[in-house]
Amino acid sequence: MPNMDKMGGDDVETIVGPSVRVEGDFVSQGNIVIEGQVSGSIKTEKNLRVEQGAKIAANVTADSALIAGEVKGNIKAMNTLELTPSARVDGDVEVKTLIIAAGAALNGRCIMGGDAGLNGAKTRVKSGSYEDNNLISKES
Amino acid sequence: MKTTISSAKNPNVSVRTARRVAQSAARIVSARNEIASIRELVRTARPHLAEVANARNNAYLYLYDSFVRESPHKDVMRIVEKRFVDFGLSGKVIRITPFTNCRSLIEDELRYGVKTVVVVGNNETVAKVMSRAADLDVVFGLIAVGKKDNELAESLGIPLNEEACNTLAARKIELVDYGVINNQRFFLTSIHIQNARLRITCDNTFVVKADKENVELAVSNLLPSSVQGMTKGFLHPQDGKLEVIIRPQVSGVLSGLFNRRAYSKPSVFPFRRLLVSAARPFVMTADGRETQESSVEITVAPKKLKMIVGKERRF
Repeated sequence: MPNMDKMGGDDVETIVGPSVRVEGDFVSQGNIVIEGQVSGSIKTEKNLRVEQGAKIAANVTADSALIAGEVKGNIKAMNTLELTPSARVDGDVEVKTLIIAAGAALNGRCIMGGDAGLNGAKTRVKSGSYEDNNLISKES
Repeated sequence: MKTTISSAKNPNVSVRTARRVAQSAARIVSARNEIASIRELVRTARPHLAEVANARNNAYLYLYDSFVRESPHKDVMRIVEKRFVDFGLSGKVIRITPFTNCRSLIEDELRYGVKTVVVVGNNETVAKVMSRAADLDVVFGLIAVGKKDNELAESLGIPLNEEACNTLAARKIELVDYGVINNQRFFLTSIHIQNARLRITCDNTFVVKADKENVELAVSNLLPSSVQGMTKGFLHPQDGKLEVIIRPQVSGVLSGLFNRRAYSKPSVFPFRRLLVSAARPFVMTADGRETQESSVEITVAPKKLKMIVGKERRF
């Protein structure tokens, strides 16, 4: 898993600040940090970090994602998706590795496979209120 | 008279003399022909000789800002000019004024074999030249004179004053991006718009809106943004993109009390094409030059500018 803590300074290419709203198709080749609101779609070849208080109404595609805010939409992560205690995701997720912290909410299907999961998919649920109703974990 | 007497005495003498005269006449004619052919050669070769001479002597064009000849910088310039000669960097010197059309000036000199244009001055001088001439096919160099307003030289890794001659002589050329404003003029370092209600569209794909009414906007390329807290990083003048930094203004009690503007955390977006518009005209500062605009299109010319840089450059 890429170290999300290192996503700062020169590594960060795009930052959506807390009092900014972005509407449209948001495509980037670098890391993205979202602290504000985004609606439309988000696509990055690198890492995405959604900070606490951020609101996203968009389908998300990233290499790895760390979610601490709200996401309404599907998330596709080529590698790792990590949900922190403040995270709330309303949508399906498709990942290779999923980490859900206690207190995180995931309302949607979870697919762990495809290209991302060929080498052995794994799901790690730390503890606490885990709200996933239709969790599907499979290896293909 | 003498000849007549001698010829009267000896007829052979007159024949010899006639021969000599004829030979001399033939020599004169052939010499005249040779001179004519040499003249013709010189006439045809003259333009080419001029080209060679220009290429040798005027490969460098120096554009001096008017302040560099003034008293605090006189001594520095004396050393700089001595080094130009020592390093074989001599070239034509032109002093630019606020009314100089740098583009047509450089275009004229390009016809005479100029290969490198060296701006001698500070950030303002570079802006003056580059705003109209950045797209010309020539290598640009910089001799930063003085200690103030030379952040661009620092960013390019060029030492100040006479030490810059070493960098110029080393001639390490890097291709860097430059910005284009409304397809008309160019900028190298940054753009700044202070507190305006703006509509911002990036790459025709997404719109950036601020919750607060006014935002501060900065676009950075060769210099870090002037936006507070964003002075480090985000300096990528070779990535084919520019970075826009947007900072919404926050209205608070404290800011009102102390008459200071407060801003929320900035946002950063890399872009290739940025459209900025507003209902009311706003003041835009590009490379230190202020203009009044109501709609601006900012695009990037990726890696199009050939710039002589130093080892200590920041990118």
